[in-house]
This record gives sequence, C-alpha cells and structure tokens, in this order.
Amino acid sequence: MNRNEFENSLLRQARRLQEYVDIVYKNVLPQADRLPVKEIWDAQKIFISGCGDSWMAGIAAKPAFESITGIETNVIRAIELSRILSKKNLGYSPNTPLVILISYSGTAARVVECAKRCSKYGANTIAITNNPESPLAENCRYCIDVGLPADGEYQPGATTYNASMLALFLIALRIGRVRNTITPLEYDDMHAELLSFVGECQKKNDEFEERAFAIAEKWKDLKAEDFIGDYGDYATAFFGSAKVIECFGGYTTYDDSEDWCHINYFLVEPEKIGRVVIANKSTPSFGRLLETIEAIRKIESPCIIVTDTDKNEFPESMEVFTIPSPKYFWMAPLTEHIPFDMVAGYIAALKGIPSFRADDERYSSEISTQRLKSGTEIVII
Amino acid sequence: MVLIKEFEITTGRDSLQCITSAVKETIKESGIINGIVTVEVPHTTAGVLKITSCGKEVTDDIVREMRRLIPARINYYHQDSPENAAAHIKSSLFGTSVSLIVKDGKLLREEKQNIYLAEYDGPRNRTYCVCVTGE
Repeated sequence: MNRNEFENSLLRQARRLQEYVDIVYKNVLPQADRLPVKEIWDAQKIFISGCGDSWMAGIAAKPAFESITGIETNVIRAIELSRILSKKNLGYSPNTPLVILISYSGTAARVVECAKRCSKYGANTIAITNNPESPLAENCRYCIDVGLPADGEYQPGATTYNASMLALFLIALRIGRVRNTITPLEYDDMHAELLSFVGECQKKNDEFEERAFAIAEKWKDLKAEDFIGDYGDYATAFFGSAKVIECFGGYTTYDDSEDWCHINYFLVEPEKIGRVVIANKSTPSFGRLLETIEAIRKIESPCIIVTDTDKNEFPESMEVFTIPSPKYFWMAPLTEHIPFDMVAGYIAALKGIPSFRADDERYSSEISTQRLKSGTEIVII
Repeated sequence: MVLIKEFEITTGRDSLQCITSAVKETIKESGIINGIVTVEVPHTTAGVLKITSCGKEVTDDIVREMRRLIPARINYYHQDSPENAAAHIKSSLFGTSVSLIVKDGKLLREEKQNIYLAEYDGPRNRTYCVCVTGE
C-alpha cells in the first residue's frame, strides 16, 4: 500500500509541531513574563489541573516545575480540585498556592468550577487557554492566551497538548527566574533549547512516518494498545492511549512501569496487544523500564519503544524510535508522542474510522458535549 | 591615539572579578605613555568598580553591603525579577565605568587598587570595553 494515500488530522499535526511551538512561544512569553513577582514569590505550592489532554500536559510539565522552581507541584484531577480538596489548601498564607488551570476552549465545566472555587478561597489562579474571553479566563486572576490560529486543525489534540505544555514550561521558567532557582545563564539556555528542540525531532519526520505506516499496517488488527511511561513520561503514555480512542476507538490502557509489572503484564493474549514503552535513559527508573521491556519480549507482545538512547539498548525484535535527547530532561514530553501520533493516525486512516466517531450519531449526543456544559450551576463548598 | 578593546567574560552570582590585568595589557598594547583609560560595561545590571582591596574580605564585604543596602525585594515596580530589579539600581548607583590616569605607560594607582567587573544579576556572559586615549 502507498502511505501517501492515507491521511489523518493527527498525522498532519504531528508533522507541524515546530511551527506551533514558534507561534505559542511568541504569544506566551510576554504574558508569562508579566506574571507579578509577588504572586510568584508567595507560592508555597503549585496545583495544575485540567481535563483530558490538558491534564496530561500538567503531568508532562510536573518534572519541569519541580526541577526549575523547587516548589512542590501537584497535578490534580479537576473533579478533585473543584469538589473534594479541602478548602484549607487553597487559602492565603501559609498555603498560598498558585493554581494553573488549563482548557483550550476555556469552557470545560469542571475546570471553570476549579477556577471559581480556588479564586473564592484566595488562591492565585492562572488560566491557560486559547480563549481569553472564556469563562475560565474570566474566573482566573491571570490569563495566558496561547494564541493558536483560529483556522488550525486541533482535533484530536496534539497541537493543543504541546501548546499547553509549552505555556506551562514558560511559566515554570518565569517562576525560576523570579525566585532565582535558576541562573540567568540557565534561563537563557533553557529558552533557546525550548525553541529548537521540537524542530530537531521534526527532522526525522520522513523516517518516522515511513516506519509508522509499516507498523500501522501490522498493528491495525491488534486487540488493544497498552502504554507504559514513568514520571513525566506517564503523560506520554496517557496521551498515546487517549489517541487510540480518539482516532480509531480502540481498546487501550496505560500505566507506569512498576504497576504495569503488577497488573497489565497479566493480560491474556499478549501477542495480540501492542505495547508502547517510553524509555528515556535520563528517566530515573530506566533500569525498571528495561526489566519491563524484557518482560514484554518474553510474553511476545509487539512493542514500540520511544527513547532518547540507542536502539542497541533494546531487543532487536522491537520497533525503536530514537528521538533527540533534550539538554534538559523535562522537555522530552514535547516530542515523545510524535512517533505514536503517526502510528495512530495511520491506523485510523487504514481502518477508515473518523476521529471521535463522527460518522456515528450515537457519539454526537449530548453526552459528548456534556463535558463542557455539565454542572456549571454549582454551589461552591 | 585611541585604542578600544572588547573583552568577554562569564560572571558568577553577585561576583566581583578583577580585570586589572586586561586593562594593563591594553595600555601596553596601545603604546600610550600619558593619557586616560576608561573601562565600561555596556550592561544595565553590572558595573565597574575601583576597589582598594586588602584581600577577599574587602570584596566580600562590598558584595554583602550592596545586598543589604539594595536587597532583592518583591515590590519594585520593575517586575522582571527581584534580583534583576535590585541589579538595575546597583548598576545605576555604583556606576558602569571607571576612568584612570595613565602615566609613564602605567596605571596611576595605589599598589592595592584594582579594577573589578561587578555582577549584580549573574551568572551571565558579559562584555566590557577598555578605551585608552592619549599620546
């Protein structure tokens, strides 16, 4: 089959991520640099929340926040932050958290609810959105408008995921600069690296696409895809799993390497489950990931490895995508998802299944839009 | 006769780095016997100081007193960062250049007087210029 006959939105987004890095960086940097010193100085704790890809962007950026700012950072589920987390965690001193809430549309009901609740109890709130007029922006003290062009292709989200992540990185760098936890030299160097890193990976687009298409032809008939990643790479695992569902409605699961060895390892018919492992050498759990990969080899699952190290580190039978190694380990999630974006895009195209089951009216019911509308009439407790 | 030379240096955090030898070398290279040498940093968060140094204790005291007089506070109008805001003030108050007399091809100075590049918001890559004029 000729891969040029197959196209998909996720494929097109995966090819052009660097273009959007440039756009978002240019838009967000001056806004991040305007975040007031006092609010940054006050922060004893950081909460990040959002739904779906936005939440994953928070998970992906957690290592950056902890590494750059040294501040305890909690990536918390929107339902937990809006309804469950004790209000004593949200007030002024001694807690004084900085709460960063992410929603591309700025209308995700639960995230808006988080903004209302956190603002009410005194937390400093920052919205990351593409809509500065949205309810989320209006209910947060500060708004970072990522400024993606209106005519872009953003579903299933890969561009928006990277945009949220990049905005978070720029906020982390702003905090690091203000609190002097990174030097001006490091600050400048990290910015330069942020601007060029995705582009380095995009130089491999042709090679990655060729291999992704070949894998998609083999994987399209598998029963499920199972993703494994640790710490910030857990976001990449979650993200890949989400794309399986969004692109072609496949069965999928994800976990970190430790729990995978406890649970998913025992799934039946392993030879019919595609495994995707994010295994960067800079990950503190790299040794455990190698053990996990060896377990996958023994149960004979087809396996893709996304890594920043040489393919010779891994079994020959596995498909290894080597992405450029970032100078700062926390930038890796910006590119790790690209290989599987391409695989998922081609599987969807090969199967002829539209994103989000657009051809099946059962999926266009109010259930799918409820995520944006549900529960906006809330009583804040 | 004029000779202008630029030097690059990587500074430390709140550091005073002696640059006297570079100034002396420039004077020697210029061949100027009598005149003026000016040392300047084209930056707004660094400076140039002439210090009579009896040892590291003196430069440490200067750095510490500068921090005490102009601390990194969060309520400056300039919101880049507390360190940066304080650095602008230090740079303005303590100056970004010094001029010294060149006599008989040498700096006219006390034996223990030296020229220092003062970093108020480092580490950074900095440039400083040495300009010798005279005959």
